[in-house]
Amino acid sequence: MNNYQKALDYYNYNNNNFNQPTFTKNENPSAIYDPYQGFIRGNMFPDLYNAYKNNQPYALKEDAFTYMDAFAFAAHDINLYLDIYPDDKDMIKAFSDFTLQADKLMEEYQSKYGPLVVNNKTNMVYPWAWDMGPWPWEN
Amino acid sequence: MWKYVKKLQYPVNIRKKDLKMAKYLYSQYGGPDSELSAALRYLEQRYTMPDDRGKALLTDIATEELAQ
Repeated sequence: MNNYQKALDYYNYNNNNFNQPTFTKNENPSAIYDPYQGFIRGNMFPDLYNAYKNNQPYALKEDAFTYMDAFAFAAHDINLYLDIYPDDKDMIKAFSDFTLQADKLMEEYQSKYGPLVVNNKTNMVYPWAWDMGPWPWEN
Repeated sequence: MWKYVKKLQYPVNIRKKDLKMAKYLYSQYGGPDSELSAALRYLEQRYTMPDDRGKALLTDIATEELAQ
């Protein structure tokens, strides 16, 4: 094997088919990742996921916070899909399931740790909880 | 029209502070070809879309750019 071939394999360049459309208009991608797997890939659709070079999805701690983010991401990604393919009823079902699950997890999180959105019931207290830290990028 | 959620869409873990890199990122977020100007362009185009789907789609894309 020559060096060129070695480099191709090492960086997984052959899998980087960014210029090839892997998805056509008439296709109905009924297969989607589960929310956690989709979240760590940033893409809910196995047909559309291309690993960047030889990067592997970064495994996150599988706790309630990650799952809250994962379900919210799953619902959001399918929301964007439905903007383009609004007649896909399976996806509308998946969107509803993920949204309800994300809402439930977010409600649980907020009742434990305080408000994430301003119109949550955990915000209807004295002292006013909304302007208290920490912000998400602070530890 | 917008509400914000007090959490990140994806967790970040900053391990190293790199001012040079921060400068590059700054122009990516706020410069002429940045996420911010893309968001504003999509929002502006959104108002001249002829159909409801186009309006909704561009509003969602603009929101996505703002989030980034």
